[in-house]
Amino acid sequence: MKKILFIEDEAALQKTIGDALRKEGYEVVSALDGETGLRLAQQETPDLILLDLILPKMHGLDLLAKLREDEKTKDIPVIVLTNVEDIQGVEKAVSLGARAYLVKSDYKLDEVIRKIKEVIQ
Amino acid sequence: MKIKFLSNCKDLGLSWWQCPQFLFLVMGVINIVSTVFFYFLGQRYIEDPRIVALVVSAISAILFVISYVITRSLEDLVEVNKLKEDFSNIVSHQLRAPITNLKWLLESVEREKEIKQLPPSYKEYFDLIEENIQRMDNLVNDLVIVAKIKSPKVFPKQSFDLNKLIRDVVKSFTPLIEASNLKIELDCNPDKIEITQPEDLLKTVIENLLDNAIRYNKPKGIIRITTRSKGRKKVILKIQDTGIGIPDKSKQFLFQRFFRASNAMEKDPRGSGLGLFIVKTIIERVGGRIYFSSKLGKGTTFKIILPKN
Repeated sequence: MKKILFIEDEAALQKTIGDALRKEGYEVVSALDGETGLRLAQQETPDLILLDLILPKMHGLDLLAKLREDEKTKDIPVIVLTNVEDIQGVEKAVSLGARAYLVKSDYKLDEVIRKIKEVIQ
Repeated sequence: MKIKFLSNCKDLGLSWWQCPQFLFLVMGVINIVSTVFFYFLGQRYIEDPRIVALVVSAISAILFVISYVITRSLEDLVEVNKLKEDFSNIVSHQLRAPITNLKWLLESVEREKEIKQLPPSYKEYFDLIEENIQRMDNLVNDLVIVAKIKSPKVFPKQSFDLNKLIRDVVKSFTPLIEASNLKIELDCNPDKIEITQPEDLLKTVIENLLDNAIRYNKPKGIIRITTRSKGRKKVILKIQDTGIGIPDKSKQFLFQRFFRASNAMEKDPRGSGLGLFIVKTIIERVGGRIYFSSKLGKGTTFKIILPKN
């Protein structure tokens, strides 16, 4: 069973996306802040990380940079899932190797799940 | 120490000649030069030039104080502008987050098998919830665009084919056009019109005008989009519909924020009244012009003249 780490501080989104992914047969590990997210990424070495940007304790882009510095986590594919529509943010996330940058309000839940499936395969 | 304030001004979207600190420096130089000038002038015409120099220096000091106050005010204005940008970021994140939560929660509920066993009236409730979430979403998107339109950092210029952009937008609207029983005609000549402008902003313009042409059209109506190159520097874009038209008394207010014509309100009470305001603001921001002609009950044509870069 493939494992997804979902780093998101919105409990409602943790529930909706987490449940939808579990129904698709994935194991979902959740983190509600950046620091916990980084620790779980190192401990669990998931097959994919779903990452919000505005997070308590550590910004998503800083977390992404730290993931890339660590030998254990540097190759884990990351999808940024955020409401921050900012060109510099997109550029930075892509330069740090994010596989996709999804602005939440532009997507339906089904489309997000489809994108996750594409990347994890 | 480098001239740091010029780069600070650039970061805030101000040109060097608009930079308050730079203007302050220029005024200082002018004042010093004029003091020296008056000194020599006084030396020539008055017996004791020190008095002239003193008077001029006093005036200069006052001017310095005034100009300092002016530049501080300008800096405050720039700060307010920056706060506005920060506000739009807060709005986009903090308001969009709960809307997305609602949208996806509703989708999750609709995916459940048990939902199909509920009486049909529940389906209506869900549709109404979805429609209202969509309205909130649209309104927040409009507000975010209004707050960000003028920022060159958010919407940088890029080179793209205008006709391809139009075809892509039309493609995304095709299900709505078909569901509204309308026909769309594209007349793009030449086939490719390369321009250098903020693509996302022009996409918003085409989307808003096309959305209006669909929403305020009549059944079996026609929408016609035309593009033409005008010389080497300009391009003309026309979006024409055969819809309800704009009443004469409403024409002068058409591009005002939150304004909606009475017949438009009747046909669709849900609009925010920001669409055409956004269109006009964007067209002005990219150095273009927008015109319209309309006959009540016959239809409306919007014509945009756009610089290619």
